[in-house]
Amino acid sequence: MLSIFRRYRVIVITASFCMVAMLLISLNIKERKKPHLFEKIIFEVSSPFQKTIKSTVKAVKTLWGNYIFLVNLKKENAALSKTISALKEENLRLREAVIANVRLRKLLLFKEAFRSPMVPAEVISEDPSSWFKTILLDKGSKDGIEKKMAVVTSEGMIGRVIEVSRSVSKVLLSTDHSSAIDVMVQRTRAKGILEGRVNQTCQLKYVSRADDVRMGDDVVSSGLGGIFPKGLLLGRVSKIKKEGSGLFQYIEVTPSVDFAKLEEVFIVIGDKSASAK
Amino acid sequence: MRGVFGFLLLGIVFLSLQTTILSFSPHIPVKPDLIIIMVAYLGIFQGPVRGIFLAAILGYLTDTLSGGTTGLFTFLRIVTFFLTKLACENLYLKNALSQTILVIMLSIIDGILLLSTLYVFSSVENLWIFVVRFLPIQAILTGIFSPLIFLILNKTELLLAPQ
Repeated sequence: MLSIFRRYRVIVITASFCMVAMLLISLNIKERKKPHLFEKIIFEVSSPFQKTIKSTVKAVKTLWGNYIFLVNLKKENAALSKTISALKEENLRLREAVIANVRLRKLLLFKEAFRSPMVPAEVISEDPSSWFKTILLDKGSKDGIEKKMAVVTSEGMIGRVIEVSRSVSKVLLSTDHSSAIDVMVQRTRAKGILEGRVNQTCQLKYVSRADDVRMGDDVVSSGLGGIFPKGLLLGRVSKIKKEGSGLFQYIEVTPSVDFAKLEEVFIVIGDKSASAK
Repeated sequence: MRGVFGFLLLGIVFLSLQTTILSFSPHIPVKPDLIIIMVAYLGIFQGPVRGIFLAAILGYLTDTLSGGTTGLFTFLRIVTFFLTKLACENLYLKNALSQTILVIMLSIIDGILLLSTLYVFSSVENLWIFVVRFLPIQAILTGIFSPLIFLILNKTELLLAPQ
């Protein structure tokens, strides 16, 4: 018996580990209420690494933009090098500050215009695999973040919180294939479900062929389901097909948010006192 | 034991790199899978018990940070490890070229297996597009990174080996 085990050791061990993994998938296929303690620990342990890498990249970018680039200019313009370098450096810094200012002002205006209380958060990392579209934010349960809270930017909605640990939360983006949001076309109020696709776009499903939808129409959240506030912009209609004989039309939506440039976001925490009452 | 912790720490560093700076273009949603390379290394150079344990833990770490169902990447990494062990018995995998080809093949199999597993447990309606359009690019990208990751892992193993 032992010799058989030894002979097929790799197969036996692989099979048992696979069974455990399958069991894990089966247990987690339904949405869990809370992440496991181990998952929480991993979140907390890995987030400093991710934060460090992110800030190092930022620092290197700044160094490159503010200093090394200017050193090259110095070589080319020997006579005016010192003055030009100093001015350019200052200029770059100011320009960066202006860009940040515009971005933050937009966020601030959006926060003021938006009635629900929100918590600002910074994106610290994205999904390790190319198959899923999630991001990690630097705010967690200690900041009042809970599962299913909507995450927005001044350009529109980006997704919802799916897991929370003490100082980190995971957000499922609206472009993920498993994301489904109840939406409507703002102009005609035609309702549908917005599902994520792989190529950074979304598909608006279950919109009847009779409904009037045009290219460039804004798609906003309908507020149904209670997770996302009503009227938040999600994207614009970028493709419509009415071929075939189906009940519904094929509509592709380009998200209003550029997910590749996500830096600061808001988590809509809602009016807790009101909901408690 | 030092080796196990060393590999786990490297796994966390690789995952952190994967989640932060290794996204190249927003229009091509691919990034190299450093954990597949690591599991391939474990399959070639580590024993079955230690290797499979590490592969499962690395898969679980990926699961935790990823948006997929928990257990999905644990399962995939165990299978990747097993396939590497299987390849080891039949192929010569001690040079960089054969290791790179192995990593590319493993990435493609991993993608197809992921799609199949998701098909069994949930929905894959839109994911097949990824397989057709981007999986080969992702596999090649992962392959390109493999000599460097193999080198880092090899150096780390030598560094942590008992004197």
